[in-house]
Amino acid sequence: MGSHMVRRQQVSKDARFQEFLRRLAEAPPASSYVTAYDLIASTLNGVEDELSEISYAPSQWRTDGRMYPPLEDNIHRVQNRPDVRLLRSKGHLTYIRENGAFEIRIRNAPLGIDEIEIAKPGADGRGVWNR
Amino acid sequence: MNPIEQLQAKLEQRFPEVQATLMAPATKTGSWWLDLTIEGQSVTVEWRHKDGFGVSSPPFEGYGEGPDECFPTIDAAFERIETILLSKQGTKDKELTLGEIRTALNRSQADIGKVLGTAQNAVSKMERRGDVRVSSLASFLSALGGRLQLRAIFPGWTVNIRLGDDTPPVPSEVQPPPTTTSRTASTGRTARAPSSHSLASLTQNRAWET
Repeated sequence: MGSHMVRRQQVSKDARFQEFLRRLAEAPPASSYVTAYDLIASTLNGVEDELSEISYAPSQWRTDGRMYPPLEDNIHRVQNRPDVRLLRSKGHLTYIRENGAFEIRIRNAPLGIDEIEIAKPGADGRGVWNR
Repeated sequence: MNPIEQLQAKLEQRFPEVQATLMAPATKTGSWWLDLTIEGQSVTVEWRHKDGFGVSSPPFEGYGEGPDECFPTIDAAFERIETILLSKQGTKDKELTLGEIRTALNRSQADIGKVLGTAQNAVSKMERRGDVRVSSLASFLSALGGRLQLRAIFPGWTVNIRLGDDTPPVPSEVQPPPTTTSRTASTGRTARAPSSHSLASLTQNRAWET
């Protein structure tokens, strides 16, 4: 059977995003910025490979409809918190701390409040903002 | 001032009441983000040196996805954002013609014709046509780097459409061979035998409306 005959059930982007959050919540905690970033990236890529029908093509990220991890060069500084880095995408703010803790917030500019989608402590048990 | 700072200044001049927040990247190659809000209507603009302006408005249903619309120049981005803020309609409410989609992606009819193996005037005709074959539409969007998604919307239910496997792999202008077709006496419609081609395979062929 040719590959074009293989059918996969289409899954909405919102459902894929919820699955991404579920897998992140279930994963073992990360212990550094790098392992936390890798956890987010590999989990998202895994969900999209399995549940979207869109091939991994980072050069097409603006137009192909697939969800991609934030680019590593897309880092923003967080005021007064040199241990926390912010990765921005159009609808989300992803804060990652050096201890591997991370928070994904949905940007809600009209209300001036960013809602937390997931807050996962690092391997040392501390969250992004706990001193 | 870089281009997104210029865009911000232009928008603040046009809309003195706008709340604008500009987020600069920590690295030279990273994205700049401009969040704009007026009376509950918000727009997010992303700008990268090589990619131009990406314009999006809530709701955002995914994570790390690309912008809703892309614009190569400050003027084009400004014009679109101005329309969104004045009309209070988001990027997802907008309908674009095929020509407008191509233009927004900064591609010419000749570019698309080259990819599809057809003449520029055939692309022009398709862009003006009111009734377009699904396979041609899929090919057109594929040539732009996108893909076609069909969606049915009912009260309280929205569902993506997956076409069946018996979609013919040939354009209507080409008569299928007699062994796979029969013409019904009552309707005159052409009935085609099931084929193994899917919509995905149709996007690969060069069947084209002229």
